[in-house]
Amino acid sequence: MALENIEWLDPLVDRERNRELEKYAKQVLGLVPPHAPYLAACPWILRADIHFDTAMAEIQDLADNIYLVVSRDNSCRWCYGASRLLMRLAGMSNAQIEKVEEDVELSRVEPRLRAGLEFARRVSRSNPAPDPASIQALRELGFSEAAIKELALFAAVVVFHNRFATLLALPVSTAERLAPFARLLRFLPLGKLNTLLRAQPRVTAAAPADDKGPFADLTMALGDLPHARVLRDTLDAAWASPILPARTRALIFAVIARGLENDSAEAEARRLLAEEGLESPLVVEDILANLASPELDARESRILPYVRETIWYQPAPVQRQGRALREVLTNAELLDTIGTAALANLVGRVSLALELT
Amino acid sequence: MTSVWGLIAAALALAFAAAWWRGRVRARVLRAALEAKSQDLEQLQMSFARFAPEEIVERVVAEGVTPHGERKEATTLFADLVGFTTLSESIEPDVLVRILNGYFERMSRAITGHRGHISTFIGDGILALFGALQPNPWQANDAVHAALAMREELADYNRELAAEGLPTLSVGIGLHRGSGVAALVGSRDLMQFTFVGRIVNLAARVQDLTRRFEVDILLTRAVKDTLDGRFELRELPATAVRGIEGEVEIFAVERFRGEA
Repeated sequence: MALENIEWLDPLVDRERNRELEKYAKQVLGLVPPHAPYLAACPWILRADIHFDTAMAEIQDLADNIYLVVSRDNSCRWCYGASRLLMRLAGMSNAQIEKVEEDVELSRVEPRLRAGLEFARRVSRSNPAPDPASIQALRELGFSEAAIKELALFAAVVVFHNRFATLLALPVSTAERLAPFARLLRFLPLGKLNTLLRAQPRVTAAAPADDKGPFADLTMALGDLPHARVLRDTLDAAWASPILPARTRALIFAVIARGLENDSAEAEARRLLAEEGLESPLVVEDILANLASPELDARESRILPYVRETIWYQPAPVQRQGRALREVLTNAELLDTIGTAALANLVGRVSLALELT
Repeated sequence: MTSVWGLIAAALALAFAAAWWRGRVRARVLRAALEAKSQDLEQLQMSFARFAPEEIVERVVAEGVTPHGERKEATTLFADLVGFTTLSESIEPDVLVRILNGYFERMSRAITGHRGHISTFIGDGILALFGALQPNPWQANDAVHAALAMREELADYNRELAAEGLPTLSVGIGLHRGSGVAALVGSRDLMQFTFVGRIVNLAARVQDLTRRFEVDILLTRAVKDTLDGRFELRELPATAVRGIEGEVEIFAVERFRGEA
C-alpha cells in the first residue's frame, strides 16, 4: 500500500544554503540531495543521513526490504517514497515492488527474510522490545551474532531516518512524483548514486578501542560493523554541535530512554548529565518523572515534553507539535532537537536489542 | 484449399488474440479491485490500531482471534454521569441521545488528547486506559491531566446546554493505577481490547465515592505516588469500598499549578 493518504504537513524548517555541506554531499554522493537545504542549519544530521546508508556487512540481502517495511511501519511517507524510488532506480518495476510488499505482508517470503523483518519491526516498534526468544529464533535460522547486531542496528538506523524525516515533515512530493518515471531517471547522470544503489559493504575503521564518547559501551559492543563507526562519529558530531547545550542533549536522551523503559541507556544519559553538572539523582528523577522542573531552563521546559512524543506517534499530530515548538526555537535549534531525538530513538532501540545478544 | 486453411488460421489467431486481450483486461480490473480492497483492509487495520496494540491487530489479521493476554502496568480512569438515569427518564429519547453523544465526543477528546485510550462506554460511563497500548512512564500525569481536561470540557458543554435550555450534567471520575491483564475479550461476535483486573473495579468504586464526598475527581494513593507534585490534591478520609479488602486512601484533585 502506498502511504499517500496519510496526512503530512508542510516542512517545519526553512530552507537554507550551506555551501560547505553541499560540497561534502557532492563529494560523497555525487549530487546534493533535494532535502539538504532543510538540514543546512544543523550539518551533523545530513552527514549522518548520508553515511547511514544500506551498505551492510552481514545482512546485505535484507537491507532494502527492511528499509521499506520499517519505513512503512512508521508511516514515514518521505522514507517510504525514497525507498520505492531507489528500488525503481535499481531496475525493479512498480509491479515487482508491490509483489515484494504483498509477499512480506502475507508472510510469503523465505524464512530468513521473514525472521529478519519480524525482528526489525520489533526493534523499531519496541512495544514490546525484542526478547530472548526472538534472538533465539534468529540464531536457529543461522544468523550469526554479528548479523543479529547488524540487523538490530540497521532497523534502528531506519528509525533514525524515519524520525527526522517525519518530525521535520520533509517534502514527500519529490520521491512520490518521481517514482513512476524512475526508469527514465536511470539514464540521467546521478553522480555516484547508481554506485550507492548497488551498495557494497564499505571498509570502515572500527570504533576506537579506547572509546570514551557518549554511549561508548554501545558503540564498542557493535564491533566493526560498517554502521558502528558511523554511529560513533554521529554521536560525537551531535555532542560537538554548538546549537544545543550538551546538558539539553543528554536530557533528550534520558527522556527517550525512560519512555522506552531502557535502563542502561537512561543510566548512560544520567552519567552524561552528571558531567554537565546535573548530578543530583533526585533532581534528575523529578525531571524525568514529570518532564518539568524548576531546574530546567525555558527552552528545555518546552523541548522535553515534545521529545517524549517522538517515541511513538502519528505523523500529522507530531508534526503539529513540532510546529508549535518552532514558535519558541530557532530553525537550527528545532533541527538539532529533532535530530537528537531521532538519534536517541536509534540508540534507545538498538541498545534494548543488543542487551540480549 | 490453402486459402481456406489460411482463413481458419487467421480466425483462430484473431480469436486467441481477442481472448488474450480480454484476459489481460480482466486481470487488470481484478488487480485494481484487489488493490482497492487491500487498501481498505490496510485503512481498517490502521484504524483498528488506534483501539488495540499493533501486535494484537496483526495477530488478529494473521491468525484470527486467539486467546492472548499480557500483564501490564496501567492507569484506569472511570467516569460516570451523576443522576443521569433519572434525567434519562424525564427527557425525549432524541434529545437524550444528542446530549449523551455531545458528552462522549468532548470526553473522548479530553482523554485521547492526553494519550489515553477509551476501552469502552458502559451506558453513560466511560472506561479509559493510560499505558495499556504502549509503555508509558508518565501515565499517571497523563490520566490526571485528562481528568482535568474532562472537567473543563464539561463546564464548556454545560454552558452550551444551559443556553439551549437543556439540563446540565455533572460527572464523577475515579482513577487508580496498578497491574492488570490487557487482552482481547468477548464472544466470537463481539470482541474488545480491554483491561481485566482489580484496578478496573477499584477505579469504578472510587468513582462511586465522588458522590459521597461531593467532589468530581478522586484518585488513589497508587496514582498519587507517581504524580507530578504540581497537582494540588486534598486528602480525604480513607474509606472502605465494596469488594476491596481494607480501606482505600483517596485524594480529591483540585487543580494543576503550571502548564499542562
